[in-house]
Amino acid sequence: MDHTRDNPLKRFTAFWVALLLVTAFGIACIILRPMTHAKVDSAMEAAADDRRAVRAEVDNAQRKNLNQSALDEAFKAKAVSLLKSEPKPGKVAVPKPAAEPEPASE
Amino acid sequence: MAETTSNAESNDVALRASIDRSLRHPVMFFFTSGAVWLALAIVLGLVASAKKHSPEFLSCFSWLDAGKVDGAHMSALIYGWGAQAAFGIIIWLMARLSRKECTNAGTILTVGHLWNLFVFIGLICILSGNGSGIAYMEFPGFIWPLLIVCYLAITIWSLVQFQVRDAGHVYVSQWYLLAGLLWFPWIAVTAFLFVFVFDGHPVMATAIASWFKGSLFLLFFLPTALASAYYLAPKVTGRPVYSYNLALFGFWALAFLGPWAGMQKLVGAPIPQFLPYMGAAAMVLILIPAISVGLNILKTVHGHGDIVAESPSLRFTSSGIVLFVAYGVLSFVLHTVPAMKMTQFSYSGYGLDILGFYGVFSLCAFGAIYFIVPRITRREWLSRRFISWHYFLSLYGVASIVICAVVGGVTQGQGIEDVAQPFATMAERASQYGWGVTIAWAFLLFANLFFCLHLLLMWARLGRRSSHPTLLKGHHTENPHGPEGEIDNIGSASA
Repeated sequence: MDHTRDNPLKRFTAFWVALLLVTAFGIACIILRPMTHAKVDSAMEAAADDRRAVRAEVDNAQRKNLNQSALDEAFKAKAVSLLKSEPKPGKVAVPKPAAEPEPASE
Repeated sequence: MAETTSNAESNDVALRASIDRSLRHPVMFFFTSGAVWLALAIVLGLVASAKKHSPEFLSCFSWLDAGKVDGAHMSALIYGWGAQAAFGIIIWLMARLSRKECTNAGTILTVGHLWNLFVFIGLICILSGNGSGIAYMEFPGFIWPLLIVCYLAITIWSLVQFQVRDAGHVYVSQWYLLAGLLWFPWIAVTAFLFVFVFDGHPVMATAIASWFKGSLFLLFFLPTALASAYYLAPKVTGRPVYSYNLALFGFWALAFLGPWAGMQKLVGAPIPQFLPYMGAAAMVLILIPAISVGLNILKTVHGHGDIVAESPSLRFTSSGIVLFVAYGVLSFVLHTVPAMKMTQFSYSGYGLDILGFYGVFSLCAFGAIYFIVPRITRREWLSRRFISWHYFLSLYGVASIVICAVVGGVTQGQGIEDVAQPFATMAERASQYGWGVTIAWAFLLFANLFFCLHLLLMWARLGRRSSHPTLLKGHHTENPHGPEGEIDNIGSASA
C-alpha cells in the first residue's frame, strides 16, 4: 500500500469531497431556484383567477338558494305518486314501420 | 531478477484475489437480483407488448392495464436489472483498476437490499395506479430521494477508491466509470427536483423528464457498458487498446453530446423550439462516438476471431459494441427532420430505446458478468450450452424487437401522415409488427431463464471447480473443462 496516497485521513477527505461533488448539483439547483423563478402573473393565470372567482360566486349562490329539505320532500312525494299510478298507454303516436319494398323482379 | 518478477506476479495474483473476495457478496447480490428483475421485466414487457395489438388480453386484471404494465416493465428493466448490473460492474471494475480492496462490502450489501425494496414498492405503486405516469420516472415522487440516497451509499466508495489509488496511469475504463458515477446524480437529482419538487410550469417539467429519459442511457448506462468493453477487450485478447487518442476522442464526444439529448421527442410542444432540435442534433451526432468506440474496440479484437468465438465475455461484449454502432446509425436516421416528423408518435422510439438498453448495455453487462462471476465465486460456469442459448436467443430477440418496432413504427407513421386513410388502417398495419415484438420478447424470456438459472447456480457455488474457463468452442486434449478441483490450489481463477 502506498501510504502517501492511501491512509485513513485521505479516505475520510475523499469521502466528504465525493459526497459534496455528487450532491453539488442538487445544492446548486436549490440555491439557484429562487434567483431564476420570480413570481410571474401570465395572462392565462390572470384569466384563470377570474374564472375561479366567477365559479366560486355561482357555487355560493346555488348553495344559498338550494332548499335541500324541500327538494327531498318533493322527490319523496313524486316517488309515492309514481309508485301508485298504473301504467297507461302514452299519448304520443308511435309511427308504424314502413312496409318493406317488393323485391325487384328480374 | 526472475525471482523478483515471480514475486511481483504472485503478489499481484494475491491482491486481485483479495479484491475479488472483498466484493464477492455485494457483486453477486447485484447480479443475481438484477437477473431476477430482468426475468420479471421481460414478462411484463411481453404483457405490455401483447396489449398493444390485443387490448383484451388479460383485461380482467385492472392492475395489468396497458399504461400500468408498460410503466412497470420499463421501470423493472431500468432500475431492477440495469441499475443493479451497473452497480456490480462499477464497484468491481473500479476496485480492480484502482487496485484497492473494498472495505465497505457490508454497507453496500445492506443498501443493495434497500434498493431492491424501494424498486419493489415503486413497482407495486405503479401497478396499483399510483405511479407518476412520467416515462422512465414512473415511480411515485417519494421513491426517488430514497433511490438517490441508496445510489450514493453504493457508489461513493468507488469514488473514494479512485481517489486513493496508487499513483500512475488512469485507464480508459476509469474515465467512463468516473464520468458515469458523477453524471447519474447530476441528471437524477436535477430531474427529481424539477419534476417532483419545484412548482415549475408543467410543460417544462415534461421537457426535463424527457431530457432525463434521453440522458439516462447516454450518461450512465452507456459509459458503464463502454468501461466494461474497454476493460474486457484488451484483457481477454491480451492486446493493448488499438488507439488511446481515439478512445479519448470517443469519450469527450460522448461527454459533449450526451447531455443535449432527450428533448427531441417534444418537437411541436410549446417549449423553445431550439431545445427539441438541439436534442435531435445530439442524437444524430451520437454516430460519432459510436463509430470511434466501435472502431477502437473492434480493431483491438481484430485478428482474434477464435477468441471472440470462444470467450463468452468477449462474444457478448463484441456484439454489444457492434450494436452500439448500429444504435448510432439508427439514431442518425431516425432523428433527421423528415424521419422525426413521421416517427414521432410511433413504436420506432421504443425500438431505439430497446436497442440501446438491451442491445448495447445489457449485452456488455452480460459479457462483464460472464467474466466477473467465476473470479469472485472461484467456480467456472457450468454449461457452455446455457451460455450459447443465452447468447443466440438474446441476439435474435433483440434484433427482432428492434426491426419490428422500427419498421412497424415507420409504417405506423406513414399511416398517421396519410390523411386519406382511416385511422384503423394504420392501427391494423402496426398491430402486425406488434405481434412480432411480442414473439421476440418471448425469445428474450427464454434467453434470460437460461441466464438466471445459471447465475443462481453460480451464486450457490455449484459451478465447476476448475481453473479452466468455460469456453464456447473448446479444443481440450483431456477433459474439456480441465482437471477438477485444481481451482482450490491457486489464489484465483485466471484467464
